[in-house]
Amino acid sequence: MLFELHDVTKTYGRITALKDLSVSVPAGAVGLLGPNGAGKTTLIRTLLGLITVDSGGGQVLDMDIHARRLDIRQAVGFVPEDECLFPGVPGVEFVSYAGELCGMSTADAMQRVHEVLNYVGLGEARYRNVESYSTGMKQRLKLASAIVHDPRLLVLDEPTNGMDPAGRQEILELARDLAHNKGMSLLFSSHLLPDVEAVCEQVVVLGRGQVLAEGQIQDLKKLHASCYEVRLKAEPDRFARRLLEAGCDAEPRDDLLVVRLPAGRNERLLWELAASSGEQIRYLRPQRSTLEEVFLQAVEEN
Amino acid sequence: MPIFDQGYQHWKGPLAGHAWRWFAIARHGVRVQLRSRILRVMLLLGWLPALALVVAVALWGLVEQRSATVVGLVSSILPADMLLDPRAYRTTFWTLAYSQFFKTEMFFVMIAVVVAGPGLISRDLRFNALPLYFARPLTRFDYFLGKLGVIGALVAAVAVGPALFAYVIGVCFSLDLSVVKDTYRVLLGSLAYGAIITLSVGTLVLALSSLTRRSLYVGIAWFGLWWIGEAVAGVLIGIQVVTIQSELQRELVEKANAEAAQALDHGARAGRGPRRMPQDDWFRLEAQREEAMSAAARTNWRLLPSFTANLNRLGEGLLDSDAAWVQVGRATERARQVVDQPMRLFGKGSQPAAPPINERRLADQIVPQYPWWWSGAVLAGLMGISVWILSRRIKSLDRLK
Repeated sequence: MLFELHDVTKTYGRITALKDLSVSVPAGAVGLLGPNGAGKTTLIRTLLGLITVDSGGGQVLDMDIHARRLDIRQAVGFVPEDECLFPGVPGVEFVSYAGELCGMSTADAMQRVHEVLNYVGLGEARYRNVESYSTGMKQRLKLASAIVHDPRLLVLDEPTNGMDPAGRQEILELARDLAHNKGMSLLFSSHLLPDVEAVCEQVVVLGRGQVLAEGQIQDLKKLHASCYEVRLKAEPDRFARRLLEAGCDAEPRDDLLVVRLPAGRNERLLWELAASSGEQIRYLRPQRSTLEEVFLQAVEEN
Repeated sequence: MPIFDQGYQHWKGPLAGHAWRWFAIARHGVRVQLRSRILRVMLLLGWLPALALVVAVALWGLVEQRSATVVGLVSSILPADMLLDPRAYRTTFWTLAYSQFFKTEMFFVMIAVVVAGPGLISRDLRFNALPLYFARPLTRFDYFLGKLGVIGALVAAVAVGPALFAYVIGVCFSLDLSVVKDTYRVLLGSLAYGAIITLSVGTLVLALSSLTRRSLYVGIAWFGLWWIGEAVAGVLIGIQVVTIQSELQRELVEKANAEAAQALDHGARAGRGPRRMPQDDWFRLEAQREEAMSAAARTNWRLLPSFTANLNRLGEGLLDSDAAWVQVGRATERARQVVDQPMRLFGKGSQPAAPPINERRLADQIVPQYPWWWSGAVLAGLMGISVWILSRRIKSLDRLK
């Protein structure tokens, strides 16, 4: 089990950040979703043993969150949302310092630093002072300093915030590689649902300090019984008109048509209409909810 | 599949235990601070008094060995007793040399701290770097200890290190291992004093540094605490001296006036003029002033507002410089007695009466005489407030974003 919390409540004065939160997440890449103020950061800090919860308990990597805080932090790498880089220090020294803080000797840390900086793509910029780094480079530097001690769990808090598409893609690729090829579990907190979907297999949706939905992303994205995604050989406009005449709703999305069938009809109608209008269907599958829909539905229901 | 994956590799190396994690913070802090040219210059300048200390203890070693050149050089400065049996005054000399050294180095410590200290925490606050520390296996205590270690390293570089170096040189020049037995207390006192300076100065500057994100404000506050404290203590002492002096002068003038009136009265009846005021009254006044100041010094709290004076008081206590000055006083008073007795015999009537023998005169004048624990209490109070501020300002990450 990656982490497991039971009835965790955390309040700050009159604000309840986590309310009787219970969640159990297996190892792997986990997305953490939730609107602002949902309690994502408080949950992360609870998992890292950085805060004392009012009630409840749990384990992270089979370590008690109350009794083994330092052990948890030794086994976890954290990439905070804030910049948290002080100027005047070269990248190589910054990451080395992070390694030393985790107990590495100076020589070991320096050797390891070169490996992880090469891995995150900062090999060329390692001797530049951190203030000269771009946003994407800073983010990768934070990632390097979080993985320098080879954690079992990597927590990324909004890692792609404020980044250009190329930089964002690099971070996502690194996160995906760590999770899928290097055996590192991931807790990926983000507002950007495509990012979570690109990296994670599981997701936990938080709202008002409670778990609104959790599970495998593929399981949460429900099949819609009467909705289909259709791709045609030809342009879809003519077939869309034909569908409307037959009582279907047809909405173009990218190169597809998303078709909602009238009540009581099944996909045979699509084949019949295609045959009668001389169209070739190249792709047909029942539509699944997007992660965005899952998220919005979970938030709206609560 | 490649034979060797040049991407991410798992780390299987050893990790140190938790006990020394703070040391990484201290080491990194020192490394960063030493990039400041001003600090490097300050550290170099701080070694000048250390060189003087080295020269002093080395010269004393040569005096003990009766080096004619060195004895010739110092014979006009030192009392004859000290030159006759320098080994008897070994502890005294070392104590006073170290006492003077630490007094001088206190200035450099304060300057070095004002250069390096303000940014220690305020910089982390300014650049939001606390998650860097607290998301790792570190406690707040480790963090504070690491930052305090930076101050400790500066104090060691400016004061304790040179003191140790001078000690080794002094032992080497004495060519006598018994010097260790005679002076180990000076060495232990120096180490303890260094620890006290580190704790007092370190916690205070860290507390100030945690109050703001701007290092400049911390530097100004540090200077303010230092110099305003000094100024207040100076003014209070000045007022006390003037008050005692004017009180004694008033008494003397009243007495002289009364005697003059009496003499005038007698003179009128006897047909003689008024008797002249005794010539040695002014010497007596000076003796009385010294006596009054010495008496007041026992309960003189006026130095307490000064941070450095409090540290100095503890330093004097640890090095026991009072006893050393008493011994020097004894030597000088003995010399004065030897000179004074024939003058009294042959110059009776024409010479003013010399002040009475007072072996504590130098000690009373040079070493603060109020109880050392008063300063200890002030510094402990400041330390307590500093720790409270630190615990309030740096509360891990247990807060709302």
